[in-house]
Amino acid sequence: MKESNEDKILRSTFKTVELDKPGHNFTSNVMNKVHDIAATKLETKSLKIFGAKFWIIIFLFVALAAVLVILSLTGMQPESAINELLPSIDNGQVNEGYRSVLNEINRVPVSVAAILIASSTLIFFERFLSKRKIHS
Amino acid sequence: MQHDDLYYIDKVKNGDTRSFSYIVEKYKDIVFSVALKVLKNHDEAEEMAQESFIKAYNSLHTFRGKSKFSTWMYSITYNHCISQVRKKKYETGSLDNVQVADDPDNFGFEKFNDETRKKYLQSALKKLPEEDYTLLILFYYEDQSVGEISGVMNLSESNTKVKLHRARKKLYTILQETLKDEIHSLL
Repeated sequence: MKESNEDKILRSTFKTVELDKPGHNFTSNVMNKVHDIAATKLETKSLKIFGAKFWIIIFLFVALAAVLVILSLTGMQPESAINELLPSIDNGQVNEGYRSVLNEINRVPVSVAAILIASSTLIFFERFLSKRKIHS
Repeated sequence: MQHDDLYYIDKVKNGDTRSFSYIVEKYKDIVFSVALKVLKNHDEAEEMAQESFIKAYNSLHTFRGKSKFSTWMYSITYNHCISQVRKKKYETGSLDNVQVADDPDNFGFEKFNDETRKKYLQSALKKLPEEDYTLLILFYYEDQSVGEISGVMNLSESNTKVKLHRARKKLYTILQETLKDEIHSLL
């Protein structure tokens, strides 16, 4: 844009203009908010919603589920699969232990199982939500 | 040693939050002036100006330094204030009905001394509508290019040129009338 002489004078006069000024505490107010945001960001970074233990359990659970799915897809019976994978293990003892655990679980009444599952779910959600509250 | 904006922005990005105060100190007057012109209320303008800085801080990681920081900052401020105006349906365009004189460019602004020019320019700027004020402040006070202003105000470059030309004419008209009144009162 070509600048005329009048324009040059206008530009130089603009440089002398005093702009409106905000209040004295303006910068400190902004900086207080900025520090708050920075502190919250730092807290969010350091506090993980789930700890390492949680992820280890989830990983083991998923791994176990994956093994079961693979076995069922290949049509292998757990006993023969164990025999193939770990031939040195005494199969009979493992089966015995496995069955006794299942029998013990079978004896637990449905209502008790429901209470146990519901209370663990509630504890899980309580912990999850209380952690989320800290971040918000 | 004088550092530029990017030096402080990098420091803020690397976790030195206090360096952001340099940015606030440097730009607070112009950010507040634009907010005040758009909102016409001191308290709200201060609030909006503060929010603009907070927005800038929160989005600082997206600023790559391809454009000037000032352009980016004014863009946040202007758009934030305009959206606030739309939200609250403020009355704007206080003096959009300025009748542009036939030849407002030749009224002898240069004949007056610096102090008088400053005084009348300051008073004329108060009478300008917010869009014209922002255009002129960015162009003459902040030395922003037409391209940069078009980015701030979401206008095409050609539209910015036209609007800038009109804004200047409006300013000259107001100055001409004010100075004419002054001369009459002196005679």
